[in-house]
Amino acid sequence: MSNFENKIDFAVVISVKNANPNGDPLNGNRPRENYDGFGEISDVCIKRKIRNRFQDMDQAIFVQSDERRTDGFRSLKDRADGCEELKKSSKDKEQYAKIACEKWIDVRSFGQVFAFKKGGDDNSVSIGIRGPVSIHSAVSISPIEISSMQITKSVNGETGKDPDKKSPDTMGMKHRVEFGAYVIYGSINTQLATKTGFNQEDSELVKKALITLFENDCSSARPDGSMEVCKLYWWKHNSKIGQYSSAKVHRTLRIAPTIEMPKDINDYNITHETLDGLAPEIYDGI
Amino acid sequence: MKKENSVEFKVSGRYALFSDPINRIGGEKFSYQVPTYQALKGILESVYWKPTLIWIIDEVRVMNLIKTQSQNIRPVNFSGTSKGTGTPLNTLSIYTYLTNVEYQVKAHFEWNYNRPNLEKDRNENKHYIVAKRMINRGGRRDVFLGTRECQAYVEPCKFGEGEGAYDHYGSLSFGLMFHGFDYPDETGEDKLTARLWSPVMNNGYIKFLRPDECTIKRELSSMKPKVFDENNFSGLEEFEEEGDIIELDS
Repeated sequence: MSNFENKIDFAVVISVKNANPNGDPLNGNRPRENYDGFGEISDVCIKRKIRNRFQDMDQAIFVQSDERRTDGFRSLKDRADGCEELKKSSKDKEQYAKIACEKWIDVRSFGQVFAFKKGGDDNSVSIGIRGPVSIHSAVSISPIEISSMQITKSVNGETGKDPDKKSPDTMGMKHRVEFGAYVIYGSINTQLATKTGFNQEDSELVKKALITLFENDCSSARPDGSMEVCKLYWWKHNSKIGQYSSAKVHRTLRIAPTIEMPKDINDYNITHETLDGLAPEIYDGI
Repeated sequence: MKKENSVEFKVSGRYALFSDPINRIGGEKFSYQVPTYQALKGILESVYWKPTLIWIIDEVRVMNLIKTQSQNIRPVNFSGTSKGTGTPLNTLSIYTYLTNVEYQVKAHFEWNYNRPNLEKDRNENKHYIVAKRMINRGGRRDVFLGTRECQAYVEPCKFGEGEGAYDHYGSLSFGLMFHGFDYPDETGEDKLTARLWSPVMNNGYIKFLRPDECTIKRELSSMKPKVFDENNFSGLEEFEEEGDIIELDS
């Protein structure tokens, strides 16, 4: 375990072809789109995928989705209460946070709020842990085009009273983004890393997770190959506080469409300026 | 009047959500039109803070048009599972964010006299220089606008420079609004109090009342200040480390 000593900024260029990168639950699961017509992938969606990749790498995860949980716990509270050492130190908030950070990689990466019922104790508030890895929502470079199709389900879910009678078809909708190139920006902060115990090895895992973000992520809305990590830019500063602000670093990445209606990642010109003394490591997605 | 240790910076982001618990009825969040004092103070504390000092926000300038955008989200409940299937509970909520925001902020720091044990750390020049440098580097920690998902950038700027969307707008009032919290370590009283005020924006500028000038207050709960001593605060030694950095990249 080596301490995390260098600030990191990163950017991931993603291409989406005939897939729904992140459905909007209150909008019939249409791909998220902002008021200007640009596609969006929420920060939590990206964090979910990183957590899934952590799980594939056999790391302990606190926020497990129910369908891929690796322990028997059905809720976050059960998982927190199910940890003996954690339960023992529920009186000492700092100790509690420390143990939670040691145990779960997603807690020490992204932070977590542990909710407690209000007790008699003066300072009995929920424990909030601020994590060093921060991720912006991903936004598409050009406005996206969403196509929708109607689908039907024409199979009997259950055998009815009259087995020969077919139940009525159910209608549904499926939506997808024809093509979109999205960029995720993020950074890893050294000061918060010190507080949560996030170390050098963890940052390598984050890097690995980002390069392989869509492995084991296929679904009917995102068939294998429909989403791809094109490039990962990884800026490792030479000091704790960083040589430049994240704003400056993120701005050095330039992605411009070369034709009016991009249909492919090759229709974009991806370049970057190099800041003095800070060259990015550039990786292709797998 | 410009204070000796006045700092100025610009903070910008794609989304922002400034709210108080009253605007979060039923789990739905709805942003104020303008940042709260506490949110800007929090941003500055992420940029640079020591228990020795208290940041006082003097003024904010709203640079972009106030626009909102809603997002539909599906948060996971911390506890509880559905009775029927045993799967974790989700709720569907609509969060209303401000979109495409940019603010210029002017602030200064004052000593926290409730921490007499940190008296030896009251070196105005040192804190001022470090704060300025941290603004240049975008902050010691990452910065967000009101809520954690609204990631933002801090950059140095000259307060009042450039063209703002409300430069010739006249005055705009926002009604009663949350100002900030009075924490026990800053007031010396063992309680948590919420402050309220009625801000007015003049041609894009909002001059904040100082926390001790706010008259509308509501006590929320009792709370004890966090103790900073040699066990968890390295004050002077930390500055030595910073000294190295000055040498490296000045």
